[in-house]
Amino acid sequence: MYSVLVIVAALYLATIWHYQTSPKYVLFSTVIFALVYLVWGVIHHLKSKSFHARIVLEYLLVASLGIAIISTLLL
Amino acid sequence: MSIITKLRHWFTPHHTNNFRAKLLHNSGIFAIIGIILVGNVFLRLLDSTSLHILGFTSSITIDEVVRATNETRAAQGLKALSYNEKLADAARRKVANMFEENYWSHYSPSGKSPWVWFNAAGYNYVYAGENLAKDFGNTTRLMQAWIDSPTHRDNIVNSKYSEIGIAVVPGTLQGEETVLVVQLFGTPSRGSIPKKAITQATPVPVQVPVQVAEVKGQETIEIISQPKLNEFNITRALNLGTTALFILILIIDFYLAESLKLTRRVGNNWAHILFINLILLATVIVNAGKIM
Repeated sequence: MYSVLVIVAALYLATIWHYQTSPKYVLFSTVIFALVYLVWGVIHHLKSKSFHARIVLEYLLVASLGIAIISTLLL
Repeated sequence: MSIITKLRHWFTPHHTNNFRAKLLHNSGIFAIIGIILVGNVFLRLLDSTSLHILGFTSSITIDEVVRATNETRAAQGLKALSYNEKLADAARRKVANMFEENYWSHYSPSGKSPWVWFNAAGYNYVYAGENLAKDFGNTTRLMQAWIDSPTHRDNIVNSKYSEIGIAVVPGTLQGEETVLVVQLFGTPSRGSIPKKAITQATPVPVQVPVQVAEVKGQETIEIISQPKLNEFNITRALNLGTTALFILILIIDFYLAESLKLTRRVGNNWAHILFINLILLATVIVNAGKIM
């Protein structure tokens, strides 16, 4: 489960590195990464039988924090 | 509640916060997002006031761009380009026109091609090229962006060119303060040799530089403008600080929870740390500059 997140993270990093001068692609990649992260969190807690709506909200907020940090920098 | 108790409440798991740092509660994360957004709006409002204390700053200099260009060419076994004042004049004319007609393109809205400025400066060429950039903070990032772009790189390592001219000029383009960089390449014609070929210029957007070169007669005068606060760099610094603090709280929370063997129904700290670390890296990597 963790390896999936690490692979997605590596792909995100490579994309950001490649498109570092294209704000549109960087922001798009960040949104995709955040969504994947949210889905990963849901699946992870479902599998570990620790799923709760409050935890989903926590992942949603952390993902939103990531998007907010990048979007305020680029927009 | 003493200061230490408050800090413990916000930053470490404790019975007062249900054994989860308050800043890691959903309300805490929501508050951090709010602070980032409100802070950003405040910065932009500050920039739009008549005080206009924010602006774009850049450390790009003409000498550095010439040196970096020639270093890239040397790595390919190509001859160094010599700096030509007529080409530099053409570059300055191009920048002046971009600000005057308010466009970011190789061709002006009125249909002027890049080559018009070569002719206006009295530079007769057999080969010519153009790279444009704006919003870059330093020469290293600017050159890296050009080199990463195949079309711009082709201009930089084109063996047909023998001379270079550069203009780095701050100004307001399309409502935003910026610094435009125009890099012109050329090979002068000898006598009556007609123009044989024109290499398509590739303009690139760059962050507004602080230094401007002006030529009066035979003298090159470097003017260094007053340093300004830079909205991009301020935002980057604030965001980096926020993400670093968030990661630190997550690590402390994880460490104490493990030490105290706390059982909690919360998100996975390591996943959060990985995600926010990637965002932090992206914040460092991302470049405000643009090339065309």
